[in-house]
Amino acid sequence: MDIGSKKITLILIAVLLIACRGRLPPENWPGLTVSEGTIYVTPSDGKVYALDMETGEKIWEFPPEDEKEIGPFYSQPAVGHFVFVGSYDGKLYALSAETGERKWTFPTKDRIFASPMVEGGVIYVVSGDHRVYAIDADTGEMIWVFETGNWIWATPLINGERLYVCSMDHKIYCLDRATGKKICDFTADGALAGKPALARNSIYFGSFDGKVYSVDALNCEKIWDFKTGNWVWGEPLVVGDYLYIGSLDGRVYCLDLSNGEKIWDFKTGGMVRGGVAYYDGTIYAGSEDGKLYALDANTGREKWTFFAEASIFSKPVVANDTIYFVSQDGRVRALSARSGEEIWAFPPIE
Amino acid sequence: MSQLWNLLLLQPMINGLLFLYQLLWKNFAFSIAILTVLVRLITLPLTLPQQRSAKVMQELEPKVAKIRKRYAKDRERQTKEIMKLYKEAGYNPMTGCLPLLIQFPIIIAFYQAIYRTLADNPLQMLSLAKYIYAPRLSQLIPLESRFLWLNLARPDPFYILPILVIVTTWLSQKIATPPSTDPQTASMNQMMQIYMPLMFGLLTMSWASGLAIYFVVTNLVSIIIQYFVNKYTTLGHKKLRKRR
Repeated sequence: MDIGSKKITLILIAVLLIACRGRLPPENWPGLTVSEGTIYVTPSDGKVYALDMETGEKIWEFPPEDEKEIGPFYSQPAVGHFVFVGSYDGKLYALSAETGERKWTFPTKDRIFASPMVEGGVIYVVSGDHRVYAIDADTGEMIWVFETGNWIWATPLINGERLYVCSMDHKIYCLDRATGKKICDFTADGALAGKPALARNSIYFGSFDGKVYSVDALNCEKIWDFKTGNWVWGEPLVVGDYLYIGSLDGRVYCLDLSNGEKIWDFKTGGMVRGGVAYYDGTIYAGSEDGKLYALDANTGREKWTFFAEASIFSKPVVANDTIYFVSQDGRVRALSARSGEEIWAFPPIE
Repeated sequence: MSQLWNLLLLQPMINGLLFLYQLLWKNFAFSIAILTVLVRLITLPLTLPQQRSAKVMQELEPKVAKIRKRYAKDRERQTKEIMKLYKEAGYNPMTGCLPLLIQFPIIIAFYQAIYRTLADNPLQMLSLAKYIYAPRLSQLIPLESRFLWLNLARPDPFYILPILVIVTTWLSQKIATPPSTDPQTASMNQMMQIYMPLMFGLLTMSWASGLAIYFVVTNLVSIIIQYFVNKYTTLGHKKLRKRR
């Protein structure tokens, strides 16, 4: 190789090194919870915000402006005694709902992606360290821990004295809520990343094998499954005799709860990752194409859409005739649930 | 453009890695190693001219030195005679870098494929969903990213792989670069042999260790190919024999 070729080689290596640069910082996945007139949200900037539900005005933020940034926060906040939120640094934070002041933290050994679940003074948190922890909500002391075979990215589900946990090891576990002992489990053909739903003594959940499953809540035996065109990640929603769920094949499905037969499906312009919401005969679903869809719950017919200009991967929330959602650019929006007209946005759009 | 990139390079590589992972006892390190070897074999027609050129340059070097000496005061004549010599020998100086230009997209795609397949957070996993052909391959997700002391999605905590990258890159450079009598060329060679291994070694300290495995394996393949090229490649051109 002559000098000219060597110089070109060095330039190409420089280009390669720029193109193959080291791992980019992880990107956030916004989450939103509504409780008692306040919205708690974890948008893309690594912080937790409390916003007034009516106006979108900021009440507090965590960590405060003068403190070092923590996170990013992937998990949707959970509200109980305090506001509980898991972080990329592996810690569960308990914050005052009024002021955002940190009350306690609980360390796990890996990142926390799922929203915790609060019930009866106990908080259940899952982690990338393969474990589900039961923690005293007041003190942050561990009560018990259960280990699965892989990361846990799904919020657990509580049903009386039982706790259901979906793991990336392809299993859903049914645990005794008081002791953490396993009662039964079911193995799907793919990873389980979304929160399950409960209705009529059955547990419903989606899988990376593309299926929606129904299993018996008592003995974990399969009742039925339904195949979509790609991974199913979102939390199923049960309304009456029907189950609504989105798939990464871009569709929102309505299934018969008793046998999994498809009633209708609606095709969006991108993946439907998050769960769906229901209000007054309407199903709301966010899509990767940046739109929030309002569909007739009986027929799947489109009522209206709202274009958010960034993908929507989180589940929308409905309260007081208003639909709240956060898009991938970190913007929180409140829309009229009936017309889709925007009421406010945070941060405000200039 | 990006759709073409995904269709022709990225998607086949991701699915290739998953397919091999399924075959090779769900060992992702083995999958990376085998796919690296396969990619090197497929691109051999492109890389062989570059590796042969090193050997040819070695044989031409004494003749080039003579020409430089003879026409030391006439640069234009010097260049003209050297180019004539190259032409008679069937050697094209651009063969040094053209195959590299073609290899680069493959290297970049391989890098992206390894990172995407080792998705270990929800947004990366979501992105991976778009690239998988068959539902059967989806059942492999998430991949077992542990191999010996390594988490293939994270940098090597003990820096063993970066050291291996430095050593194999240096060896690969050494075996492929013949000594030169031209001071400028010799200086450039020395620079390449020091800085390139160091550069790659330093960078693999912050890259996923799966990528470091790719670099070690690709360097070892280069060394093996260069060994056989050096052993079996000669000029044997009549006009060049006469020039002696």
